[in-house]
Amino acid sequence: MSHGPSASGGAVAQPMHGHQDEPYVPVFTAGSAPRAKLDDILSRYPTRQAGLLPALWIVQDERGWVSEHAMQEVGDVLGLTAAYVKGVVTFYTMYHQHPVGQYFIQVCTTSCCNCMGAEDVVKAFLEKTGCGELGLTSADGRYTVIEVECLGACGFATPIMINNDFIDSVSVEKVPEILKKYA
Amino acid sequence: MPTLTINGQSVQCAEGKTILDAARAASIDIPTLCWYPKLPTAGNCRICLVSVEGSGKLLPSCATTTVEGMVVTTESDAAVANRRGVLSMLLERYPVERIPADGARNEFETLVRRYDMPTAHRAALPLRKGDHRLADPMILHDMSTCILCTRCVRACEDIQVVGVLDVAGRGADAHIIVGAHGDPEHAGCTWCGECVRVCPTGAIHDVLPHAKFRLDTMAHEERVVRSICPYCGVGCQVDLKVRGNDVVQVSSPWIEEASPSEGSLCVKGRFGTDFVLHRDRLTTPLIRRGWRRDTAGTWTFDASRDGAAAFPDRGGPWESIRGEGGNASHRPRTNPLRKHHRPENPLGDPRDRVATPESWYEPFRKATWEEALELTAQQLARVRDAHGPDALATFQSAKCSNEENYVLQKLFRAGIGTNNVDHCTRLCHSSSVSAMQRALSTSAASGSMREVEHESDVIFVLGANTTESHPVFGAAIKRAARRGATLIVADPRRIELAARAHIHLQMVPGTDVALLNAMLHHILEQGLEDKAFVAARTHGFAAVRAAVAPYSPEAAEAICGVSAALIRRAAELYAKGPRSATLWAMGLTQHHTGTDIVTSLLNLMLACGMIGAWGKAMIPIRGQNNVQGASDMGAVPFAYTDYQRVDDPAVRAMYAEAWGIDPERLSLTVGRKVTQIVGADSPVRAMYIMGENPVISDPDVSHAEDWFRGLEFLAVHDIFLTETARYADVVLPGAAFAEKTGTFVNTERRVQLADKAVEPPGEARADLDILLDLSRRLGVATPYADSEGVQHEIARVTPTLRGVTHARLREHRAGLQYPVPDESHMGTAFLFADAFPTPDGRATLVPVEYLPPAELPDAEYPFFLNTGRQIYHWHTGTMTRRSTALDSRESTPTIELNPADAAAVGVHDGDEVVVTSRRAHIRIAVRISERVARHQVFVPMHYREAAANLLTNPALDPHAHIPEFKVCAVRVEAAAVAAAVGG
Repeated sequence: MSHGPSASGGAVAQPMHGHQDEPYVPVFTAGSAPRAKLDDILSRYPTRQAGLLPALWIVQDERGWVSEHAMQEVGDVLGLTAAYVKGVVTFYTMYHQHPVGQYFIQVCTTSCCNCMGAEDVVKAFLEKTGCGELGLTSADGRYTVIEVECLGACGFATPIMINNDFIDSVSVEKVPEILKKYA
Repeated sequence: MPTLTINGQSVQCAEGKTILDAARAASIDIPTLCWYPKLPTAGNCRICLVSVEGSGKLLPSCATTTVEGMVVTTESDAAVANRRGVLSMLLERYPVERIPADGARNEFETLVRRYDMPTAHRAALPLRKGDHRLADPMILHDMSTCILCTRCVRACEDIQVVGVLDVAGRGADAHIIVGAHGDPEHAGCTWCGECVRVCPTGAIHDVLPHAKFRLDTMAHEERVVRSICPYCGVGCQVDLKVRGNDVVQVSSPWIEEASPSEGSLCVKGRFGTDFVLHRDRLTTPLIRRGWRRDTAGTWTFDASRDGAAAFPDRGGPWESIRGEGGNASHRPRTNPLRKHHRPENPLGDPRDRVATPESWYEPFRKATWEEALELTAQQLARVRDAHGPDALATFQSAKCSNEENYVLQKLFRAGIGTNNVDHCTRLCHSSSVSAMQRALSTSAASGSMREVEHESDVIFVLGANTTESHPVFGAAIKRAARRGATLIVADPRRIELAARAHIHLQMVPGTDVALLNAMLHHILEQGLEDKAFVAARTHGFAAVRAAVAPYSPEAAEAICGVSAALIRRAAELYAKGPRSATLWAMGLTQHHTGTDIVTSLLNLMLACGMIGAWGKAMIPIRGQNNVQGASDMGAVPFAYTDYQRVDDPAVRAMYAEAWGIDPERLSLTVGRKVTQIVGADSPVRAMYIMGENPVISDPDVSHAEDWFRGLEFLAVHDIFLTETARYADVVLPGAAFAEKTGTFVNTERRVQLADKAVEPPGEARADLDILLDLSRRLGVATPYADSEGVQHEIARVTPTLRGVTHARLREHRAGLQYPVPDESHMGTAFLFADAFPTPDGRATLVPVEYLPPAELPDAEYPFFLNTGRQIYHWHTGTMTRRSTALDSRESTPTIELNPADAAAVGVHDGDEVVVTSRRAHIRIAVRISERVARHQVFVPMHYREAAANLLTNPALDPHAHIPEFKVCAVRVEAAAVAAAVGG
């Protein structure tokens, strides 16, 4: 499978943590906080299947990405097949199928932002973080930069997201300052 | 009943049917790709769109319900233009250069030709991706021809209820995946091949693992012959594709054809039949060195000649089963095929693997049929004349046809004059038969597998690992659970069905009577029994009510380890049904209290009235393709065909007349059972064994092995030189399932016909020919030339099969469920709607008390040992271990050990342990598994090199004489530790 540099993190990313060859440590162990959180979510729905997207979010919050082992675990926990879980994970762009940096930087490069210099913003991030290429993770494991479709802030180009933080009106000049906050 | 017009033809169909259904019923062909019978409708391929008057757009015929007056045109200009559009888009990513210039290789290419699509140039788009698997020994994935119809995904998920396959990615990137890891093994694939069957392009295709039959040649079979799978009792029909004298591929019948399996197969049926081609097949009769015929034509044995002295006591230059079991150093730990796929040579030739060591042939010389049969006939007659008829015995075969079993029991009853006739049912369902005979005067299932799948509200499965032992029925049970049936599983192991069950009663092995009595106790306490049924149709209820009174759920909890609350819940669910099915197998029967255990279940079933109506099926699930038929044919020591008792003079007179002999020639004494034939106090001195391998399958086999070696004469009739055959005086090479015609009875009393596809190898002969030849030599009249003729005689003497003929079975390919009282009767799907076949029509409840297993764990032997089957192997491994595909999945004997126990013993997955019982020890590799509870271990029965039955306890059930295969006490030690202490 080749995913190319994309919102899912990119197949070429250097795995920095959660390496595939390490023994998998389950997320939803009995009595754990993620388990409690999932159980709470499941209590609101009639079927366990309904908890799939939130369960994957919990995995991604805990591990930074959703590994194939994690898909298997989520399937086991929810009574779904691993293949079904993978089908869902790969359908959406916001679940990482590969390890990403500690700070996952999404830069909007659609029309308005492009006019306002988004491509230079991307370049600045790639340079300042040391990532070099879209989808790759910096050698220190801290950053991954990708381009995304519209973040819904066309009047405040160029918007970016770093993990769950939304930052608008980013220009090339602001990049070093922003990165200081996410060091 | 809407009436519509399709292509100008008036068509009527049932309410709710789709346009496609109506068209198919009227033989109007609408092309389909994603649609497949019995799969959920996907409606994603858009090739079946048709014009409907009044609709502004084309409508998908697979997903549009018919309405009165609809006018449909299937090949309108618009519909055809759309189809060509669909095909052209699919072709953009299809390797068109592989389509033969003058034809088509598959369903999709057939449509490409039908709509005259250009195929000269491939578009610039890349071919489709997916989880390619180019090196697997059974199912190959070449996703470049995938058209994403998703039939395989739905077949895996909805028919087999496994869910290995799915679609990942989206848009142009969408592709078929195998689990999350691309690894079928990890995803729980059981290699059933359902995906192969439904794939319209061959992107997923199968390979009978045989280098001679590469993909390109394999597809070109010369003829297709319908046979019956040679493995379990489900009785799936198989289509054998034959080229020359070789079966080159096995497929299942079309999904809409009526057959017990509805066209499904499991891994054994689809990929496990290459043993037929194995080079170990016996091709000439063999006679032990030392036997010679003198000038007068008399055969004598002299150990001092022909080099026989080198092989004393029927031995040979090999290790005994006990010897092999204790010494595992020569064994590979893991299986290279499984761990390392080798793309350059994915298909091994099974004939390059030698399952029968060359040394096993050394004590024998090749012989002619004349010599072998003359020697056999002479020796059987000599022992009879010298020691009486009861000094002879035969083991018949649950793998052989009705006709063969009938002729062999007739040979021993009429020709020898003994009822020492039995077969392996003794070791599997004999306790079910004795319990069912006592309670209901019946010996077979009351219902059908279909009713369990479609009708039962509650399915109670006890001691039956159906998803491994009867996978096609297992899938039907999983489908039933999915449709909403409540599944209750009683099993000491957390098997797949248990994991899917609503209630898993995970009891301590052998405590079934306590569990079932407690369930009945609770039902009676709650007044949930079927009072009308009990009053009108049973005897003995009061005694059973009294007997179960002490078995409160709390008392049972202390014995079984299942919580009282769970026992109560299971009892209520079962009793409230409204229609509960009752299924069981070896987990109940193979105990020294097997008859009691089954009786306690029958009590529960009868008290709740869960028999005698559609959906209230009672099914003892049969383990072999003809174990039901062999029993029906009289391959049991107490009865002729149809369970007509041998000690009844009237029955004897009837058979004597039918067979044209003096009644005095037929014995009125009930014969000895398998477990009584083999033993120190047995009077049996000579045996004829057809297609059985007791040296692996009997309990405590080191004693059994010694006993067989002490026989005066042993003839073994088989397709391989089995562990038993190597001790024979005469070995008669028989025919494998594909090489003969005959009828077989499956677990739901369905008589089906298997046709001969190929000739036996070398000088091997059809089993019936061998038996008829021998019969004539022993003076038994054989007024028939073939199996069809034998079936006529069977029908004459067997009331329940009176209406069964080969001609009818050819006409009704799905088979006939007996009773079939006459030639116009269409068979009986379920029994006992009004009465039981007892003298007064009532069933009998029999009080039973819990008795612990004969051998319980103690300080010295702290583990419960359970034995049984694995999905990839079967019985003594004679067939499956000679199948490359099956043996590649599971080539090493393993013991299942709970993780906590493994830690306590100090071993890891794959380590070798020594397992010791009071009888023997074996060395075996560890498989750590949470399926087994703590302090319990499971050893499969299939492996000569670590024979589970060296360990098992030969304690017998007093009624059925079935041994306690399921419980004995063992000690488990790391091999290194055992060596250090001299173990």
